[in-house]
Amino acid sequence: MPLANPAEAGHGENLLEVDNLCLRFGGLTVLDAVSLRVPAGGITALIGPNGAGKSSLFNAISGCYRPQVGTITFAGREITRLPTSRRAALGVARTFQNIALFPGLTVLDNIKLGSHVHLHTGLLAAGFYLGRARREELRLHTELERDVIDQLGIRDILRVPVATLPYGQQKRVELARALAMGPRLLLLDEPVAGMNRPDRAEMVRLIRNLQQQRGMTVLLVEHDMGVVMDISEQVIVLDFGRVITAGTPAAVREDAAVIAAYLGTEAQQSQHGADEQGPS
Amino acid sequence: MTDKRPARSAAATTLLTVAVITFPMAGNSYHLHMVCLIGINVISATGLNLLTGCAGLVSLGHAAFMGVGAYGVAWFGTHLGLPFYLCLPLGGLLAAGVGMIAGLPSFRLKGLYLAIASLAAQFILSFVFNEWEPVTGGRSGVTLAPAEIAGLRLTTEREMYYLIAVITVAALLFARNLFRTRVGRAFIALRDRDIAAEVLGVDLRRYKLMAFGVSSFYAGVAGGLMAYFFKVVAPGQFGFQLSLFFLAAIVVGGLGTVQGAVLGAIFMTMTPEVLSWVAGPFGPVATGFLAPVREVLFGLLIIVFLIFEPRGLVGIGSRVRSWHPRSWAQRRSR
Repeated sequence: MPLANPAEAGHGENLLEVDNLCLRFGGLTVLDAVSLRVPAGGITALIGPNGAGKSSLFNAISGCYRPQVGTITFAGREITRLPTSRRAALGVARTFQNIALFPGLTVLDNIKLGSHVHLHTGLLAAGFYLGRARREELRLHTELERDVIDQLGIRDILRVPVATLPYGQQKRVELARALAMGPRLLLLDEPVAGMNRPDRAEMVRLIRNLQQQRGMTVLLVEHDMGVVMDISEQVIVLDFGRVITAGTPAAVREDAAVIAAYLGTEAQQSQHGADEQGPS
Repeated sequence: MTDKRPARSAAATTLLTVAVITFPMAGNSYHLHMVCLIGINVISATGLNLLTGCAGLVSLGHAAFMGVGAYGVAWFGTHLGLPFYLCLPLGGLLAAGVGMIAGLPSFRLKGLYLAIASLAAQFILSFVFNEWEPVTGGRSGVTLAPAEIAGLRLTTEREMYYLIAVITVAALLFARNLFRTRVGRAFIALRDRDIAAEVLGVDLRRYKLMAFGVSSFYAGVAGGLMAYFFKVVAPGQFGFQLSLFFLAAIVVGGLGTVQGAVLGAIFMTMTPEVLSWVAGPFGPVATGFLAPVREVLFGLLIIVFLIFEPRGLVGIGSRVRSWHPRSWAQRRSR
């Protein structure tokens, strides 16, 4: 069933575990022995300065990059080498930093693509479009309207080609597409970047709803510290491909290494000494 | 306006059906000949448009797959003695198989590089058509018996017309239906952003192979019909020029839409005819210039359309419609 309630693992267990993950491009080490835990049913934020490896970590989890060392475990199953397209069926969904919608399709078809793995129509059934294929499409439409479209308030733009939409709405459609996957883990890459204040508040409300009402586990990358501190239960800080700290928002805010990473070398030197210093 | 839509499209369908059925009574054999060619070209162009226009996999070897279908149909009929209604789908399946093998490089190659790989397929298959004499009859080709359904031999253009019309309509409906379902959406997704498609669970290799398979099946069936239409299959029919012809057809008609392949095939089939009508009054010297001019014109058309109207004739059509009556504009808005 598409869009089934993803809340299966209860609070306290980890839905995603990353252990000792190393990712290199040639001589460049992008992720250096990264280990982290994402508890089921919570909101975890991944922060760090530009180039810290946040998006690379997302790419490794969703399968776009192949790490050389380490493991990624999702819902108790190791997925480190699992082909990208198979991870969707397990319940890993993501959005992209630079919005990756399909410009040649309408909003509705973009969202329907999210449900791809839950549908079964094959080539012949599709071409003849009799019975089963037709019923599947109609049912999908009803389910999406009920579970995704109305929640995100995008009913009015369903027939519009996505390329013509303003930025904020494109972000929303991309989230809708990820939700159409009925995911257990939602990876959001900068969900509020570039948004104005009302849009941002709306997005925060949506993410919270997803977690509270559908029990979805959320892992997000975000630069907006207000949003991060506001919604996350756990904050993980990445700098130069390493996890420098992880904890509650309050604890992370006070952490000296984090302040150093964000404010630069001078602060780092005065508070910490050279041992914390990354390659520069 | 939503309630008017089905009624209007039903009326259009009826009108079109009547026109298709009654056409042979109105047209002479030249007209029928041209319409049959258009039908065959529409089928083939639709196939190429599924692959190149929708799935974004450029192929410069489409004509070769038509050739596989044509030779296949001839061989199944002559050597295995199979009836025509088995030969045609088998020819399509054979072409689909060869097309899928030719599509394997798409796992690693994209864009221009893939186009070059498909060009290799075109020339390898052309070579096979020329040299594998026991099967293809070499340079002189093979002849085949006319198609036969329930004792009725389809020898004349009029009889072939109905066969081609039925298959063309079926091919178009099949292509349109694909885009109502996840299969068509997956094709477009892998064209627009393959990485995002993969993250959504679209198995890229599977759908690339599927696109090559369907596209070559269309080509194979079109090639098979061509074989029955001309009753001879020769290697010169399925050369690189024909591949370019179909690429031009979908670019001119409109990439990635069913109407685009139809308009493009009609346009490209009629262009040489119109040219010869124009050149006719100027005597044999002018007509002698036509052959080279035609190739130049095809090339020019591709360039002009890519620059000025990338959506092709379909794009021009929808622009014309949005200038004028309100009813069209309203239909677009919903």
